[in-house]
Amino acid sequence: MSQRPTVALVSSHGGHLTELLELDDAFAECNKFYFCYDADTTRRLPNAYLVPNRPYSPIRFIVNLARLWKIFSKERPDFLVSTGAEIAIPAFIVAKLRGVRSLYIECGAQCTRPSITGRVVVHLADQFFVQWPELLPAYCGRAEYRGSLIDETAP
Amino acid sequence: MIFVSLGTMHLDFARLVRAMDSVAQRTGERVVMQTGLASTLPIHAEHFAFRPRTEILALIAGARLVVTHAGIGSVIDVLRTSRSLVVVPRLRRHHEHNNDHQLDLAQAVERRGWGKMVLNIEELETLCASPPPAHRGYTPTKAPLIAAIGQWMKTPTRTL
Repeated sequence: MSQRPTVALVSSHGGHLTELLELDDAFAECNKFYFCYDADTTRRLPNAYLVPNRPYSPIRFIVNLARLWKIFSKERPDFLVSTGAEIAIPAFIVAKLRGVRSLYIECGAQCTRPSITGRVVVHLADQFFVQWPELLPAYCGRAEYRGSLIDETAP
Repeated sequence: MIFVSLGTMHLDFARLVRAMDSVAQRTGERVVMQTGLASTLPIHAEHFAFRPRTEILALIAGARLVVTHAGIGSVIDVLRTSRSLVVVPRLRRHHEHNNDHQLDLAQAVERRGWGKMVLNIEELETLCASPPPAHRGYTPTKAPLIAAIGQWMKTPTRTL
């Protein structure tokens, strides 16, 4: 590991990206690269790999898996962090296969019901945070509440 | 002034538009509505589809009460501006959304004491006359979350 660890930051382009950018202070000591959907908001990101926004295409899913494998070979990230949505699923698969430590932060809009992505990724991520304590029971002890961009409840 | 926000959803929200239009007609109070892509529009209330974010924030700041669909962006904007908040979740059974996920946030708003939720639209007029108190000093626990991420990166142990 170099002195500055490298973190792979993965999100779609709307509110999920807003949440990821709000957490940017956490990665102040890291080299960062992004893997996102191609959109006006993501084209402005430094060091970003952008893919077309086709969330329900199985072909795109396979292409993204291969693309992520290559990107991870080149960038050699120490961590993967994502705030969703489904674009995160292939990234957590690649991280799992390559032994890259991974953290998923469930979207702040999920107060009591888990997201579809969350239900998949909770089985792949090394660490899983939710942003509402009410959501913890839905993840059966696999998630932690450590703070929130929305809720005021102390962790 | 009462500001009403319907968000960016492509589906109509006639229940809310008609109820708030009726408030504008009966009370004569200025009601301003952001209607987005809704097809039902008010007659007595002022309305527009979309405006830049800075103008929306100014409208929220200038309102004595904000009535909004239960969208996360709108709710946060109202909380950050410390305004009286009433949320009306878009419901699937009225074809206002594809599912009932807005109910989830609306219930959370009420549980946290951030504002009131309206399910029965007839209650809206009463709430406009006596709105809930504004939630002051909204402070999400962002700092502990950022600290937890930093801590996780420094601790190379798998916890799951």
